[in-house]
Amino acid sequence: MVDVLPTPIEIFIGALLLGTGTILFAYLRARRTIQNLAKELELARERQREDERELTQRSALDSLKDEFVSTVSHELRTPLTSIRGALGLLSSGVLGTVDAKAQNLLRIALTNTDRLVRLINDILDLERMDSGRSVLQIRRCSLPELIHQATETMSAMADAAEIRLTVAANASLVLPSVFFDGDSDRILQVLTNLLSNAIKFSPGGSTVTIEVETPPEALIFRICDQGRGIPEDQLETIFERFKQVEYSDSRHRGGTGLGLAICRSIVQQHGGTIWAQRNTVQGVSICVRLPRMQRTYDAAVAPESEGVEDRSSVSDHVGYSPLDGQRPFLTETGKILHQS
Amino acid sequence: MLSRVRSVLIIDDEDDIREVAALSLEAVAGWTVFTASSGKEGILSASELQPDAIVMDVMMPGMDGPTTFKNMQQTPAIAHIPVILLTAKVQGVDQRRFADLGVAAVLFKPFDPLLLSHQIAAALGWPE
Repeated sequence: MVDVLPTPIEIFIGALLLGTGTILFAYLRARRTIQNLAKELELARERQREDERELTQRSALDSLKDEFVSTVSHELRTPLTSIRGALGLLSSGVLGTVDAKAQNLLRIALTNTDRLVRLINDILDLERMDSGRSVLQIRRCSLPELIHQATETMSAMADAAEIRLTVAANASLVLPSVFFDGDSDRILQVLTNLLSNAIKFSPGGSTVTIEVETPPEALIFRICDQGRGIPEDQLETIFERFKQVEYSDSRHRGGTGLGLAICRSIVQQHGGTIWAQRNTVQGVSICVRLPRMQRTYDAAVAPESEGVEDRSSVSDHVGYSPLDGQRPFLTETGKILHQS
Repeated sequence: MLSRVRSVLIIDDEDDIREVAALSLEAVAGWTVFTASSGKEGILSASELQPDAIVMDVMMPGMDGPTTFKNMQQTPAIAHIPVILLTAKVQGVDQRRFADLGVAAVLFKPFDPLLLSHQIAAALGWPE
């Protein structure tokens, strides 16, 4: 690409003789010939054509990638539907009783099928967030309401693991007044992900506590467990994809290794930060700091009126069954469609 | 068990999914289930059997789900039957496309066989 052409300049210097003295004057004049202007115009047009070509190519690549992801997702889900369905029916006993050993094998197959479904969901979720196609629906959110929803959602999992879920006493005092601008579905996803992790890595009989702080212009919530903790040198890397404290965690704990990476993406989309810190006595706290107000609307933030969001996520239920959540969404005609 | 026996037509080109979904609705809810393996066959079956609802796949060879739904809407004998799409297409762009069709609901694969009948009943306002 060539820069703008050099412009010739004319310099005029003159003197005006008057009875009282002499006035000297000078002026500059740019000489832009018609040929120069035509060349500059042609250059500008060429630059515009290049930009348009680049935009078209990028758009075509995005479409190809979307199509690829959509196809892969569909092709993986189709056989999984038969497998999951057959295993679910057999293990439920609705088709007849199964002996204990067979039942255990069915449970193993079912658990791992659900894990595979979660993994597909999580990969799709991350891919969408990374591509900037995950649009936040920013509105005023109530943190107490979201915490209530998250604890209610995770209570069955906590009960099964004999873990007590609780909100810290001092948090209860500030909670009623804690509002912020955010995407409630996504923050709920963060909360349930973090609670799910905390429950998974806590010993039976222990407590998982939600703490809340409200510094000016921000809010901080922490999910504190009494589990085995995280080594100092892994406090940052656990937010990376497929990074777990122990390699076997994904097999033994049923996670995908993507939950914290998804949380980090969501929090960062909100302009916030997420980090892990070791507790003084035992366990670890995952802390999230969010700005109270969204001052800027960038490409990843859409106004509330945008309608049905570009949200293919079905992993909003990470940490428990990937199949049991039903999130209704509204059509333009107001009908409720159910996402399960 | 749901309050009254319903009849549902499942249209899906995947034999295994048809079988699992049918078994799920029959065993869990006690519904009467008919099946069809293509959109064309589905329209004929629906006209003849007059089910209470149709549960249909989206990606099918020949006539896909959306096209079949549009044809059903133009067939007076079956235009009144609610149609639910059961699909593995979960991308946001697909969701918008389905929402614009005017179907009663969209359910996603993989589904939980123990919950499928409840989800259908809830979407159609059938008492349980």
